[in-house]
Amino acid sequence: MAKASQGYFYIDQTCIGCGACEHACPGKVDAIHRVEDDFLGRFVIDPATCINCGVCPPLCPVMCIHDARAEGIVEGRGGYRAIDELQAWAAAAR
Amino acid sequence: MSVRIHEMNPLPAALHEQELAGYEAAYRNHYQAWAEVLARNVEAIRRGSYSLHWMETGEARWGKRAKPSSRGMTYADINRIRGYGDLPEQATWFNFAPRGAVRDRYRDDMPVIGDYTVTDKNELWAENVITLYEEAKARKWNATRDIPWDEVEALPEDLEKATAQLCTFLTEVEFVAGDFPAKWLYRIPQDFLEVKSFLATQLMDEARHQEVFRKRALSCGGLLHAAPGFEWALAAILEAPTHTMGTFLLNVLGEGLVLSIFRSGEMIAKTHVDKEIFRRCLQDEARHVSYGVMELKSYIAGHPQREAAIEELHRFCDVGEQVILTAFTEPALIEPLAVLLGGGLKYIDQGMEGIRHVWTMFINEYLQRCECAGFDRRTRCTIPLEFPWGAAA
Repeated sequence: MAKASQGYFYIDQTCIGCGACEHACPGKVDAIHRVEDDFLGRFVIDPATCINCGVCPPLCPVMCIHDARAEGIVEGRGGYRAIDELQAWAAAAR
Repeated sequence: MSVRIHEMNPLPAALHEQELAGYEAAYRNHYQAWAEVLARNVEAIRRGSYSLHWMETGEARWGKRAKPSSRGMTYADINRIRGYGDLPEQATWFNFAPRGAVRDRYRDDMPVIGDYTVTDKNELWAENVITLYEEAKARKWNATRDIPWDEVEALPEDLEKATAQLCTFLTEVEFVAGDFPAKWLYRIPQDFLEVKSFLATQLMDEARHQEVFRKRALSCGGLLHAAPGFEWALAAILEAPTHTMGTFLLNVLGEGLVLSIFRSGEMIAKTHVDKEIFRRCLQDEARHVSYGVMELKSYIAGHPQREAAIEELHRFCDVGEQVILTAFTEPALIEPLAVLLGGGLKYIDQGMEGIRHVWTMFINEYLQRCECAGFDRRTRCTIPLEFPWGAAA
């Protein structure tokens, strides 16, 4: 049966890749996957399959799972963005 | 009872007579219940009498059928059955009888394990511990086969020595990261089996990490120098007096530090083999940090005096920040890191610029972990938010 609506939950870029959300997602839904080839092992929610059950956000240790209806689209904030500066420095140093 | 012990197979020769005598005395003095149960059972066998009491279901939660989800049969699936998933706020069973089994009537006949000391749920529980356990099993890897060891190529001497030194340091850290869950695993009563299961995976993860870094070092030269300053910091983690404090020091802080290093792995590693090692370790480490943050969150949320709990955590931080400072002032860590980030010994000064970013990154990630756990450490942080390299010059 086709899904009636689009999923609203998404993971911002501060995901640390622990995977607590992946196994919280109901198995038949299976909307959460590791981003392919991402060194930091981050996860992504497929909006086409997410059923908006809301089980995953409370399990996230860095609060990087958001409901777009309530918060809009954010890139993530806080300490886990600090790697951006190291990456920028490394790119410039090459 | 002592007669029966003497009838057992000979004990190892290394067991001293005094210790054995103490062990036997403990059974004579404190384990009468065992002797009584044994005597009853021996007598029943002699009479040729069946018991079949184990078929009685009056007190059992019998007749339920756990249904697997499409992921298989997880703890979450079986915990939906009433009576099996009810975790006590405080454990009162200090033996091995499983949660959900018929055990009340046997309470007085069973031993009490005095080492089960972590009895409060809020001292160990994390909301995500069951899914982290599933993730740990799904992501397990093998340091013998999953790293392309035959593709390891020796780096130029300075970079190779830096890599070997970093591996030596990480092996030291992984030892304590394994000993810590091992120390606390057996102090947690069986009613919290989900946490014990997760800690067992953490222990295995750390075994794999010390294995992979040891193998990497030995694949091109060998181990280099121990870090005496950091040894003290590691000892402080291992000797934490409570599970919650230790979880903070190890999972949130120590493993957080290692997670920051691994997250920088793409810039530190010089070969695809080393990148693969960091990438794989990173996902394991992320689970440990995740458990730690959520355990602290649970601790604060479940504490009868929230403000007192937060003050306690600040005291943990006062110690923990010394661990960070010790790590980031340890030449056996920051110098090889700087050589690797800079791209060689002659670029070590440039590499120290990279360390400045790693420091900022680590401190900010650490402060965010505290915030996610439920307390603000930013204004009380006892170590510099910026890397103090050359500040006195």
